[in-house]
Amino acid sequence: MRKKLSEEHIRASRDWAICIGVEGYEDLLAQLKPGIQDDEKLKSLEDWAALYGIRFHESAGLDVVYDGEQRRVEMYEYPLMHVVGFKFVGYVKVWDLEIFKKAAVISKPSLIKPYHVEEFEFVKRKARREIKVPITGPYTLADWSFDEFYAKRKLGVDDPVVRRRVNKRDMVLDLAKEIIRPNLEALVNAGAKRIQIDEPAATTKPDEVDIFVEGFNEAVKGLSCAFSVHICYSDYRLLFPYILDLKAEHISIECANRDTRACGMDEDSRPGYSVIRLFKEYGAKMRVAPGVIDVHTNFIEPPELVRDRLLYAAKLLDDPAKVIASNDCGLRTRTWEVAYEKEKSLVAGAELARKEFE
Amino acid sequence: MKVSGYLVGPQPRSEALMKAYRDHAKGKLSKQALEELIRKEAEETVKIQSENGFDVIIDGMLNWHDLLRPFTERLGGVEVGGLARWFDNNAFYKQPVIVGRVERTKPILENMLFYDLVPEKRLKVIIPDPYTFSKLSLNKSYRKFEDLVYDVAEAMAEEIRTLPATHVQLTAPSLVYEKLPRNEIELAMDAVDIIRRRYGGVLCIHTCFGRVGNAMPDLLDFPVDVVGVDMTATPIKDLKEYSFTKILGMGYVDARNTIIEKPDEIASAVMNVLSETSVKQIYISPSSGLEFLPHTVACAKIRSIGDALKLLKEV
Repeated sequence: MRKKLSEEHIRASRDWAICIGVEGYEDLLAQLKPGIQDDEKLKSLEDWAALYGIRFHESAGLDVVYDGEQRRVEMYEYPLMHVVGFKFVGYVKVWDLEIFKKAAVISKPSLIKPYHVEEFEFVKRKARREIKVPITGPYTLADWSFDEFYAKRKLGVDDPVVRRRVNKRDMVLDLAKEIIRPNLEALVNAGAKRIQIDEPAATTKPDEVDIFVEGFNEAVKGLSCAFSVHICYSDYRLLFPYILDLKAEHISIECANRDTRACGMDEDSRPGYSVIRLFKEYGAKMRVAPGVIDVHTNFIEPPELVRDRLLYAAKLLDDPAKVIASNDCGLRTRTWEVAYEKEKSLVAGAELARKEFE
Repeated sequence: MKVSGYLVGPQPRSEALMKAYRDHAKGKLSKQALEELIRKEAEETVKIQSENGFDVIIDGMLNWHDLLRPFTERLGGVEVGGLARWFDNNAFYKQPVIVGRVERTKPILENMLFYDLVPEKRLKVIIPDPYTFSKLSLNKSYRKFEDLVYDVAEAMAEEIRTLPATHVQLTAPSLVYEKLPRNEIELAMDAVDIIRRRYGGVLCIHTCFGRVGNAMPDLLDFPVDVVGVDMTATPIKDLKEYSFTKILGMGYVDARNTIIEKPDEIASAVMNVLSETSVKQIYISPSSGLEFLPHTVACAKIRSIGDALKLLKEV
């Protein structure tokens, strides 16, 4: 935040504020005058960023919004900054030039304090639509970490695969009980009605999908809130049958990334959505939020394409009420311009789909 | 008893090299400056292996974005596809998309390897085995999967023939990641045989990310000199029941966790394998490429193997 801001940045802040209806933005512009920003202004600027995030989604027309996670570093490092029992050990590659700062668990994890309540309180004060809070789930925190604690225990088990599974399960359950559940409780007590638990790692290890489900259920047990799960860029076939036991109201999955751009409701046009058939075949009760917007391209999906993807999903589930229109994942790799057009298409396409059932 | 050490996959880039790659992508660092840094780090990678008593040396593969990539980018009939998960890791590779007849139309590893840094007659080159490469591809062209595997094997054999490597390792996670039916194992074996017939050096196959289990006797039938096993997934009992006619690549050091194995623990595990199985010769190695670890941790694991080798020499 100490970076000097150019006139261009300030102009963009003003233009976006007008476009998405950010109230009182003139106060922000006064703070953004070219020059060095100091630490005192940081909190205020974070609030502004969050407000822009909220209005961005509201003005695009989404029914359920949040602040675009403007205050978070990213989904793994940020939570672990608030947890005792981990140490960051260095950067590792995810693919090509993409890297992340990875931690190792070195003692039983304990929470310093719930880390999403303050941002939620702000969103609650400002939002004009329903709110959904995203939070990284216990399985993903465990799977993306090295294990220098559980793996050091003497279990008396010879088979290394069995040993690793036991260690992993204990780590996931500790994270669920000691870290995620207190966060969820705090959010629910603060008034959260919808919470999305992000678990992109859920299917990484095919023989541990049941552990992901157990961790999720342990974290949400007895809490009064509509919990959902988001899992992206995964082999969704591996979720079955375990996902049937997940205490989630709906599941959000990425589909547009693996689909064609042609309109239509036939199998050839909609390969990205074929996995939805499994939810029907297995009799899953949860609703499904298939991604109808690809977050890794600048292609703006026409509303008619969004409509056809949603209608096809409704056809596979045999119930349009079970379908929620959503993105594949977060849009943080896109520009605001592209992201905004994509969100507007999402909303327009969902409206077109709804009309088919009127 | 003969015990040595070697690496079985890419060395992780240092944080400085990661930054250099990212700076280059943003136009902040020239290609020449980036290449100089890669070469310098390759030199260090070769040096740490030599210093720790490894007989066989790799250049670190620091300029490979994934194990398949040189082949994905340069084989005829193959295009670079989208991201796909690299087995059960939080790591991804760009999927080869097979769009036509696979053939070697130009050199694949030219300018990819730092041959000149490795002491003479000690270079090991690591590539995917033909079956794994084919299995991980999106086949849009071949009607029969086996025809794809054979063509990939032919292309790889042609490439290997041109390399000054005394050792070639075929990395074959697909052979153990899931239990394969008999005909698939035989297909993978036939593909390796195509390479074997064109390459006279030491041929290794390294399995990782899975327990060898029932595939052990089949692996011992592969036309290779060294069979590498991921010991972080394979209990020693899987090695006990068979007459071990090959050298064992003992992937004991966990390439996916940061606990540094102690040298005496590694040495003791080696002695255990030598006493409880019919194995006569061992290359101690990490379970897979150390690319999943921070660079400093990977170096510490290499030093631990080196110290274990010293202990074993004293036995």
